Amino acid sequence: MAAAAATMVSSAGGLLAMLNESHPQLKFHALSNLISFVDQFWPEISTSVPIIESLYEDEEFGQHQRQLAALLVSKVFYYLGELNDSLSYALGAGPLFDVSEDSDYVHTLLAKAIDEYASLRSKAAESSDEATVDPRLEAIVERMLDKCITDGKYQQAMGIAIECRRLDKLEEAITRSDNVHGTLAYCINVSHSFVYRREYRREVLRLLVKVYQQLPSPDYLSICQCLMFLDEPEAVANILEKLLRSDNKEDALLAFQVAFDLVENEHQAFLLNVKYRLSAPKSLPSEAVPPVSSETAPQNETSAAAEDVPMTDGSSVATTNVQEADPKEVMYAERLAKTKGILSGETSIQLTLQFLYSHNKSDLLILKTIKQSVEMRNSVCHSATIYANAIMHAGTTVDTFLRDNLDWLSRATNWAKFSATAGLGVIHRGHLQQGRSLMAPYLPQGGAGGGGSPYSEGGALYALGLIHANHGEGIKQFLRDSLRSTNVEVIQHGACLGLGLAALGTADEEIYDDIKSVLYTDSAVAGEAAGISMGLLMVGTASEKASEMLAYAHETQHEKIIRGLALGIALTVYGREEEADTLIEQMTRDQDPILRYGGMYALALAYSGTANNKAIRQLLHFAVSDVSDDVRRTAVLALGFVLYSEPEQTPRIVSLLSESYNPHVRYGAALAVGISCAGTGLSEAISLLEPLTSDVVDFVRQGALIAMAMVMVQINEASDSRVGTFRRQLEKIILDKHEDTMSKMGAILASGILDAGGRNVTIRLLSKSKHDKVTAVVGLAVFSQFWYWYPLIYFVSLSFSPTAFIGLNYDLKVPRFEFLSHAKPSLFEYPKPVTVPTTTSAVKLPTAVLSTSAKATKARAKKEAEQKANAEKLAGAESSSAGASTGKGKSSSEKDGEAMQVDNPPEKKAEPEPSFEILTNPARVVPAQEKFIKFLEDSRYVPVKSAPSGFVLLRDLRPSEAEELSLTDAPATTASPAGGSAAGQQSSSSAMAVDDEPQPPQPFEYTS
Amino acid sequence: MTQDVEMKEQAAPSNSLTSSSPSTLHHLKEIASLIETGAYAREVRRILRAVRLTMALRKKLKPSVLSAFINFALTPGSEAHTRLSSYLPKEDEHEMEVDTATSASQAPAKHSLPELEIYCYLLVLIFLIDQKKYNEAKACSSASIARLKNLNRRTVDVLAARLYYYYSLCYELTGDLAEIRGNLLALHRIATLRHDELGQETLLNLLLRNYLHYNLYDQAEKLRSKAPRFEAHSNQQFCRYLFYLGKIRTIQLEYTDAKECLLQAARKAPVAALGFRVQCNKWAIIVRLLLGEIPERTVFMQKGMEKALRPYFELTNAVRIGDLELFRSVAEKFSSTFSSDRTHNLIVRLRHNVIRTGLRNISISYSRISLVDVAKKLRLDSVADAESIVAKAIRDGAIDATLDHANGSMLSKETGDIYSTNEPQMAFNSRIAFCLNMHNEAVRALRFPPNSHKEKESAEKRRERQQQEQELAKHIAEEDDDEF
Repeated sequence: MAAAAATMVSSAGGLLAMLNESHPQLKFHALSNLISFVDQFWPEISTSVPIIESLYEDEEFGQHQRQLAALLVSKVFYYLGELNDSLSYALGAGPLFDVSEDSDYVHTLLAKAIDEYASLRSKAAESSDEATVDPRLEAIVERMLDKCITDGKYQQAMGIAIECRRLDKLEEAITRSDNVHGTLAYCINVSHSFVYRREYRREVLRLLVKVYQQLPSPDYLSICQCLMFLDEPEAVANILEKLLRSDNKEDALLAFQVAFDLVENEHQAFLLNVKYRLSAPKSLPSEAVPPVSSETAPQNETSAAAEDVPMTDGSSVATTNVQEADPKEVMYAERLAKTKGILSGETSIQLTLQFLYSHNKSDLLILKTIKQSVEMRNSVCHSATIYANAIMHAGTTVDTFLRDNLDWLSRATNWAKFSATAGLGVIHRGHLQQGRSLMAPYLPQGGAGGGGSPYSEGGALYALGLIHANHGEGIKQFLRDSLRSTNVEVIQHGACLGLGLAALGTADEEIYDDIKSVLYTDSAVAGEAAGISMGLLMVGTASEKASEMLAYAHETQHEKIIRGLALGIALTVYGREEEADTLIEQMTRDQDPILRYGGMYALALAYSGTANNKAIRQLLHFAVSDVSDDVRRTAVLALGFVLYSEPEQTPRIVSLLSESYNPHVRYGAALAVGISCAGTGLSEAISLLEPLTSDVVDFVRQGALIAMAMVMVQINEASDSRVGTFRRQLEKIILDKHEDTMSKMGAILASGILDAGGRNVTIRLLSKSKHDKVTAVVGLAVFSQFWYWYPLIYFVSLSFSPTAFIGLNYDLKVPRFEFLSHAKPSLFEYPKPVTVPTTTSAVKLPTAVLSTSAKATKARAKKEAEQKANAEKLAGAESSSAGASTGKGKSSSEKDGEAMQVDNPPEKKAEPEPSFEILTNPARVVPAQEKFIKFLEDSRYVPVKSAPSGFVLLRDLRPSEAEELSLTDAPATTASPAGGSAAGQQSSSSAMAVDDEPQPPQPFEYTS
Repeated sequence: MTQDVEMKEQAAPSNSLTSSSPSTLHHLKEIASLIETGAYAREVRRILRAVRLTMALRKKLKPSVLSAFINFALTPGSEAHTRLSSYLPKEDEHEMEVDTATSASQAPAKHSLPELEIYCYLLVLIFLIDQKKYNEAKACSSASIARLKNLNRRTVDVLAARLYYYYSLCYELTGDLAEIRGNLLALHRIATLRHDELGQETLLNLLLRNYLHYNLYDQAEKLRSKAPRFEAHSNQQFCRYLFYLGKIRTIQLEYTDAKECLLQAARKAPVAALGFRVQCNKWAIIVRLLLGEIPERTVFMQKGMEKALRPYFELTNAVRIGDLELFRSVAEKFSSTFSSDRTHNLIVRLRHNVIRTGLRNISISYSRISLVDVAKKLRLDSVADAESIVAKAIRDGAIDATLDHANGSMLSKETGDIYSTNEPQMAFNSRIAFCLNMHNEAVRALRFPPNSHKEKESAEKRRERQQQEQELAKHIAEEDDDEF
């Protein structure tokens, strides 16, 4: 009847007139008819809304009639586009507003209701006063949530629940879903990428941990990741302990895996806390107690002074007790020792070192070309070459190039000498045991005034810091002593940087005070390093030290110090998101452009990897409006840090800025892309950088070249042809006599970064569990300061992570294990070595062999002449040189076997390339390759966690058979005692690592 | 009023198609690929262009070509395909086979873009309307509208807007416009929710047209004033909107607004849209007459409009003279034209204006005139009549005069010099504003090819330039030295 009426009636005027009648019956009739006509006649009815509203408010009117009026008004407002009013009247309509109705009106209003509710809830949570939410609104949203859950749309329900801050509903959705693990993983993902407030994210994660723990088979890997974010070492320690005490070997493997995953996030302070909280084996005899207790003493790091190798200490204790203790406790003690080894980072560092050394594929010919083409007198390019060498060999311990070119090297004077010495630290990064002896020739000789140049001494201290970066337990004390015993500002500079690196993020008060006293000497050179160092020490603590630093930055006259402090302050708020807002506000409003510049870094680091819209907006604002070029450049650059979790976004966001008239902004845009897309080889990023590499301004070219190298690291020509073009471009720039120094330097550094770490590392700012890697981010942030201070280039090495799959067995050894890379081998193989007109291999291999022997003889002669080295060392050197040369021979033959395609192009033409490749543990797996990794089903080992790269624990399905180990070179395997206790193996493996190494470089003398 | 509807379609430029061009089917395929790239790249511009090109092909559409194209664009056997094919007459089957044999076999199930599907609907609908198969057209359009309701893609919007238009058109042609009013309102609401502004514009115009068709001016005005406002996207739709608004305003006696709207509509309409412009001019002429203005002769002598505007020309003449007799005769003579133009009721209103215009002429010419003379000049029956008319005109402010009852005469007040007031300044200002606005719009409508401004400088050139700059700097420095 209503439909029939609708076609007949051409106006609602009559019904509207009826509303003015006095009889309620008439009004009711009008209302109920209007409801059915509202879709047609809303423009007419809208003029009478006030009358209908008054009907709704009329107390004498019946309940039903009033609700009807409300519904009518709501619909009219909906048509008018006034959704807020529409919603409030719809709520007034009570049951008449039918949520389950399938119409645009209801859908729109429901969406509006949820938005409204979410914004009310989050506003209430943020202002922390209990704003009253309309219970009717709440009821509607809850009804929606329940409907989602009962319909099995858990993801929607979870999304809404998170948005509306209804953790109770979130929990319900998760627990009632059919695949709890999947839902939890999804939820973690969502909470990282879509929850913008850190506080709230913590709440969500806390809930998730709770849910996880209630599950029958908890996913400890995920729990521990969450707990790490929540900064709860206690809980992690408990879980680890539980796993370690279990009788099941697999639980122990899991515990090791958890530990490795935690280490990957490089959160030193947290790891130390976990380590100290792991309780000691209970029933140990009294003799074992003292050393253990000294180790477990919480946070009393300084008391464990100069514990160079804490690992061996602990394990030796375990071995002494093997005979007498309860077997369970013994097992626990043994596992605990291993776990602590992992947590301290030593296990992974050692394995990485071995991997990088054994797989080193760096191409010395590139360096040789650079060296030859660079003018002798051009000190910038000269030191750039040294930097490039250090980066190319980062972590590989291969310093052949330096030793081959001692004469050339000696041209480095003053600060160039400082950085040349510090470069050794990069090359030997992670060489924890030998670090100090390696650097010994350059270190300041305690008080005696050994006559060494302060520059090389300062550089050596900086190098020590780089070697022990983020794992400085053993070296901290030494660095502190060096810092206190000198008042030469160059040495102070090196010591400050070294200390900052070694004690990264530990917030050690005493070290802080030492550095502060250096700062207060108000020396520009030392003060700058002190400022940065304080920041490094306090990374992510958001301590009130920042205000102290800010006060001093206002006081001092030295720009260098202000700059150092500005960066330092920025570092302290790392990852604190909205907690840092006050400080950021304070810095960005400052009159001093250098402090505003620090403010940009603070924004970058506080919101690093969050892709927070507010931060992006602020940075873009500064990028276009600040008066200082430095601030603008940094603001653009900072975008790279904020966006590194979503690299695809960056090229789009900075594309306009990359066309700015201001070269500083263009430079910032280049580096922003370089930072956020590092190691991804993203096509858009390359397209954006390509025109910038031939920019009109020299420093823009420099930035673009470096950024391009960062993007292309570990990408080979087969996957993107532009990589080859870029390599040729670099070569051309380096060889071009007329090229500006700035861009030439950029090209040299770019070649270094492109082949970083012996072509086995990439730049990675996120761990595999999508958490940020503190050290890497901090490293890049300080690296980007090289604009002002070249030695800071070395910080880039902190962001390198090996592109390796390293499988480990229960003994934390690397067994022989094969797996599949389901892609053409050529896609991911090493870049082909550069060829010179004569045959490559003929030139390249001999140089390598010759260098070792030549070096050995030269070294021996020198040592004998000086009579400083003792006999023991000499023997070690001899044996190591032998070992190294055999190692070389083996690796070259291995290369022949593995990379057949590389060496024999005609053969490749003859047969089609295979579509897969068998990799042997430990293997190089580049990021792009990860998705092709498959584990063979009939393999002896099964990974505990199916991760395609990094450290993975392997479960042995055939424990009875003898294990074949790899990653141990010939002399080492014979040396290692077969079947010794774990501790024995541990120490022997570390010793073996030392044996493998080429002997420490000889102290070269500077001629100047 | 129907002819104005057709305007843009016939107006579409047909010169893009040369006689020697390949088959229509080939063109259609090109358009389809244009739509495809537009859909993938989310470039609405391309789809707009596709629609424009289609209009050029309109005359050449044949059932064979259409079915071949449908076979090409849609998966045979799919729902849309079967439905659309059913609308097409199956005449020259064999000829069609020849044309399609190759293409149909090549690309089955390749495209399933909703854009293409909607485009096929559009083609078939246009074809059906051109063939005057209105009932099929109605069915086809209803089906397409039902399909559209489920699509929420911005790239479809352009096509959807055209479909809405033809949907309304085929119902109008069969006289069932009232049927779809509810549907149009619902569509308008959906378009608003989806922020489809082009659709909103089109639908609002269709709704206004729908209301005006049934003389529901009041409702039309209410809808217009309540509907969300935004900047116009399509010039055509904006012209129509202005036209409808002008009509509404005219009926509501707001002649000044109405005149502005109608003139602007006539001015903005494309040159080729003759029917629309004629219609606008007719209304504009009457509104101007109602305002007491006399349109210039050139208005009636515009190219192609002379014949259509003839009745209005004569009417104007009558009003200009202020001759009631003549006016009556003209109105009677062309009454059929006026009622078909739906301007009859306005012409009735004009009678009053004729008198008033006469009165104003008198007031300007005479500083003092007796009412008897006024009655005579206006050919009124009695002096009393004249007196009351003059009194009312004075009260309405149509003339600036006073009545001298004792002497039975009208005293006009001196009109001041308009150039001593701000009036010219204001007029000037409004013209400048108009020009500036036009300029800004033109600038905004410009399109630049992406990245054309980035001309790369090679390394050699750069060095050369830098060297030159250095030399220049040196030179300047030397010159500076010379001065001292």
